[in-house]
This record gives sequence, structure tokens and C-alpha cells, in this order.
Amino acid sequence: MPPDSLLELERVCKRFGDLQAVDALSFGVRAGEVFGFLGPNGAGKTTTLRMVMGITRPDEGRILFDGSADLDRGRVGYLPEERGLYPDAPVLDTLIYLGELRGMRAGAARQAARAWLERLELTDRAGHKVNTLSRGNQQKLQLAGAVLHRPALAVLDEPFSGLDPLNQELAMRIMRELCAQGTAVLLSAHQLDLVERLADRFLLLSRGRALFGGTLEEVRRAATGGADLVVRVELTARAGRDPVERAVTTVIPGDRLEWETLGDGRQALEIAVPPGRDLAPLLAAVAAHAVVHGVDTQRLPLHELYVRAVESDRGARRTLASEVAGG
Amino acid sequence: MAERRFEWLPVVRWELARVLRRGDFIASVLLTPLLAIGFGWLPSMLAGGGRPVALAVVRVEASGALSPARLADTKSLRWTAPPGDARDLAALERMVREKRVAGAVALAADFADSGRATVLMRASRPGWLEDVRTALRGEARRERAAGLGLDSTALARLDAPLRLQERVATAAGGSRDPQAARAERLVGLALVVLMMAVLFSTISYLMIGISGEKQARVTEVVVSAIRAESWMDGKILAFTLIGLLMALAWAGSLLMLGGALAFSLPVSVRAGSLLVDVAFAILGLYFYNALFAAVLATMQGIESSAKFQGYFFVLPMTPLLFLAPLLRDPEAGWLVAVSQLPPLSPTLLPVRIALGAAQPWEIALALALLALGGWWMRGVAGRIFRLGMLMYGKDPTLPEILRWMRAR
Repeated sequence: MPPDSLLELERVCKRFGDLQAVDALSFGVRAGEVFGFLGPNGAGKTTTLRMVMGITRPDEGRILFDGSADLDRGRVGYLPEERGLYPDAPVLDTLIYLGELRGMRAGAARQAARAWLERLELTDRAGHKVNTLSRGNQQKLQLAGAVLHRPALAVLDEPFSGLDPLNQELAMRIMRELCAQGTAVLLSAHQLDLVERLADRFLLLSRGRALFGGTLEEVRRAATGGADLVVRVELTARAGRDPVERAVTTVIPGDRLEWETLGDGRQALEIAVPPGRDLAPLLAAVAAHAVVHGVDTQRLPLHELYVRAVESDRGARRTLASEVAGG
Repeated sequence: MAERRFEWLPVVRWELARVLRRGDFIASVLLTPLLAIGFGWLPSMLAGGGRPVALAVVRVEASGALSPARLADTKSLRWTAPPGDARDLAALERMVREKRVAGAVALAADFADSGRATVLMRASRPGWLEDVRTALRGEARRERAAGLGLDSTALARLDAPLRLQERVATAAGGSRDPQAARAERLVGLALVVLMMAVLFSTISYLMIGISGEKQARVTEVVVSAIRAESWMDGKILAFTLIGLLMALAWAGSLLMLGGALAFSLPVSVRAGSLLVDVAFAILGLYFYNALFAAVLATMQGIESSAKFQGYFFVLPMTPLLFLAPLLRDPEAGWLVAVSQLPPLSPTLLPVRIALGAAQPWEIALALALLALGGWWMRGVAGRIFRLGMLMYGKDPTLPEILRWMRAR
């Protein structure tokens, strides 16, 4: 385990009948970072998080928390995807109970619960029953319940679900503060724009396996193979796009081009450039067949990287399946 | 997975607070003794509250004419002359039919010799009929004794009570006063009935506490904080305590009411016997709560109880099947054996103890087996819950449950 990892998964596998839910998954989460744990529905994220929390056990591999295979439940917080609260219990009592379950003394839990209610602007609802709160407020309450005891590791599965944009910002502030206090946040969410703003590192899971992982820049490099170059050109009416495409493909083989017609009648040519490639011959090839009006590099958002990677993985799976079927 | 010490304790406090604050629980604790008393006393209150029944009594002469007769009043009967002018038996019968009297007794002229008398009533076998029979037997005795020339002193000598000294030789050795044995039997049975009543009253709260929380999706939050087994331990303990509180409230209110109504309480019950009965009631409550918790852990919701799990909820009633043979022969070998089994011992052993038929080793063994059974069952409940809690939308099959029971 790297010395700075608070949580480390080593070749973890989980199978349900014929389904390999998690397949030799390895990653580490460091103290004080937000780790974005991404993947499409059914990728194995929740199964992995449940194993991290000791709710289910891996079939193979091991999970180390602070160097030990013995999870200290008092030092972790968990906001599960399948979550709920006691509908008929008072709001304050619910938070105190969740704190006590994590090993807090009743007095400390009460103090922390009151502070959190104030922070969430729910002080006036402390004595009300949970089911009188709006869905968003219940969601905030559950987030507070997961981190009330200042855990070393907070595992948050879809924490933005049901929150309006203002409360999403509040949740993000809470997570940043936790990290500033040294808490490691393992975050699984489908709101990729928020995750992109929040997470220090990412891991994309598909069909139980890691597709890519690292910082956003590392992920971009892994997903696109380098930078996306956008060249705005004016084509000669007679030749059209074909000569440009042929020229580019000569310099960079493969299917790496996308066209877009701009409002002024010009064309935007998007080229995925492999890492370390000299751009001059590429631009020269384009300029030989069109008038270049501008050049820009594009930084793909996490959303785009995610979609590309998952679709590419699915395509590979379909190809493999058809090859197997075809013998 | 590390287990903190007493991590089940917050669960006990939480469940106690949740249930004890419920309005329906408070109403149930307060109203049940009142309802029980009401159902026991209301019919007799409505029927006259213990006032004696007034019956007409006459003697039928050989001519068929009626003449006045006297019988001694008792606690339940007051004898009167028939109202108006009842000249014959037909007239007396008409009076009864027309509800001018509750009933009437016509003694034959030769009642002392023949013992013949006619009892007139509107419904067959009224409640006072047995009292009338007793009164007539006494009257016949008196008249026959007078015919034989015996005065009241001689008759009193004849009726002098026997001074039998009854001793019950107990299986545990030694002997007991039968009145004390009867009192202990009464207390033992009362505790068994109390345990059953409490058990069936707490099932609904246990259902809310286990399968209800599965439906509310609280499960995963809690079992990420403490072990599933600890959660179940806390719940089983909490619901056992709730049952005991309920039993204390009910027993206390019934005893207070009994005291207020000047009932004689069975003071001759031995402390040891009472302790054993209480131990069986508490351990029985714990065992059945653990069993029900295990069963509820297999269910998605209350609607699942329509399936095979429903049979487990009638398990506490099965000892009733053994009661008749047990009362006939409490020392039968097969009854000694079955009364050791944890599902049956909380009911059968107190009855056998009350009958003086249980040896000390049987009591000790049954208590030990019951405690071990409860402990084992709470482990089973925890395992089933841990392995089955994430099975949303589908009830587990019996083979799956059996596999979970054996899992580590």
C-alpha cells in the first residue's frame, strides 16, 4: 500500500451467481482528498462501496483501512445509495442516534448534531419528525448523519441526489471542508460537472473493472490519447472536406476527426491528437487544402471523457461478443 | 471487522425511546388491564352485581293446593312467598312465565321422604339452579334429621368437618401444603398467560422495528456503523425489556386492583418458586423475541407473513397441545423430555413445577437450554439479517435461509 493511502483496495473481486460484479479492482484513496468513483449504472460502484464499508465481503482480494484489514467503523462515515431515515423520529434525535452508533458519547453527539442543524439551517425543525422535512432537507440530514462524527474516511454514494443547485453547492462546501480537515472522501455521483469541480482524482469503473484513473489531466490523456485540436477552416467549395481528411489521416492515422459547421459557414475540424505529437505537420496538412482561420486546443470535460470511455468499452465488449459468437 | 464494546447499547436506548413514546403503546399498556377487568366483571355487574336472586317457594299439598313454605336464605338466594294468589302449580308457572318472579320452587308434600320438588324457570339451566339444588339438599337433610328425632346439636355433630391433613410429596423431595401448591400453580399459570399476552402484544412493534426498517431503507446506514449482529442484539434486548415493562405494568395494575377489591392474594407462594417462574418468563420472552426477530429478518414486509414465516408466529401456542396430557400425568417420560425444549419449556415447566412434578435438575437444565437457545437464536437472527438485508424486492427461499443460518 502506498504510504499516503488511507484506503486501499487490492485486486478485489465480487461475484453474484454468474455476474462478476467487481473484477480485480485496485485503487487507493488518500487522506484529505476527494476521490471521484465513477461509472455507469450496474458498473459495480455500490457493490464496491458496500465492501469498503464491511457490509458485504470480497470474494477475493483485500481492502485495507489505515493499513489494517479490520475496518474501524467509528472512523468511517457512509451515505449509502439505498438510504432512508426513521420517518417518525425527531430530527435532532435522529442525528444524535447516528452519532452514537458511530461511537460518539451522547453529549458530544448532541452538541455536534445541534451544530450541524444550525449549519443546515434546520435548527427550527430539530423537534419535528423527519417525515415533515422536504426531500432535499432529508437528504442534507443524511449527509450530516454520515459525517457528524468527523470520520477519517467518508464514503458518499450519490450525495447530490435530490438537492437543488444551492444545496448542491452547500454539499460541495461541506465536502471541501471535510477534506481540509484531513478526511478522505470517496465520492460516487452521476453529476459529473460537480464531481469534476470537486474531485482531486477519479476512477472510472465499467463492468466491474477500472477503465482509467488518476487526476483529470491524467484521465484526459488516457481517454483522448492527448489533446483535442480544433482548427477553424474555410473550405474551397469544390474540394469540400475530403482532401483535408485525407491529408490529416496521412499525418495521424486512425479515426480521429470530427466536423462541425459553424454559424458563419466556416467549418470546425476537431482532431484528437496523440500525446507528444508535433502539431506543425498536422497544421501544414490542413492548410494545404483549406484556409485556416484559427487554432485552439480543447479540454474535454469529465462528462465527455466518461461518455467516450464507457461507449468505447461497450463497443469493445460487443465486438468481443460477436467474435465469440462467430467462432 | 472490529466490534466496539456495547455497540448495541444505543440501539437498545433508541428502540426503547421509539416504542415507549408511541401513543398506541401507551394506550395498549394502560387500556389492556382495564379491558381485561372489564371483560371479566362487566357481565356479572350487568347481571346484578352479585345481588341474591329472589325465588318463590311453596309447598304443594296432597290436594294440589299451595301452602307457604320457608327455606333459609343464602348469599345467592332469597326465598319469598309467591306474589298475589297463586292457588295451584299452573298459576305459579304462569307467574314465572309472566316474569312476576325470577323462578319458583314447589316442594312436594312428602318432600322429606321422597325428595320431590318442582323447579320452575324461564330458561333451561339458569345460573342459580345449582344453588337451588344445594339449598334443597340441605332442607331435605334437615327435615329427614327431624323425622329421625335428631335435634340441631346432633345434626351439627354429624356434620362436623373432617380434619384431613393433606401433604403433597414433591418430586423435588419434601412436602408442601396443598393450598400453597394451588397458589403456586395459580401464580405459575398467571405468569405464563402474562408472558403470552406480552409476546403477542410486542410482535407488532418488533415487526415495525425489523421489517419496517428494511422498507424504510434505514438498514444500510445502521449496519455500516455497527455489526448487523449487534443491531439485532440491541433490538431483541430492547423488545424483551419493552415486554417486561408491559408485563410489570399489567401485573402491577391487576395486583393493585385486586388489593382494592380486597381479593386474598396467594401469599403462601415460595420466593424460590416465584423466582423460577419469573426466570422462565423472562428467558422465554427473550427466546421468542429472538426467534421472531430471525423470522422477521427473512421478510421484506408485513405482507410476507402470509408465507411460511407466518407459522412461526403461532409457535408459542403449541404448548397448549400438551397441557391436557400434562395435567393427567405430569411425570410421563415423554413430557419430561419435551418440556426441556426451549420453545416449550417457558410454558410447560412452570406448570410442571406448580404440579410438584419437576425435579431440580430438570428445572436447571431447562433454564440452561432456554438461555442457550435464546443466545443461539439471536446469533441466527443476526446472520440472517446480515446476509439477507440487501435482498430488496424478493423474499428469500427456505434453502437460502437455511444456508444463511449456517453461514459464518
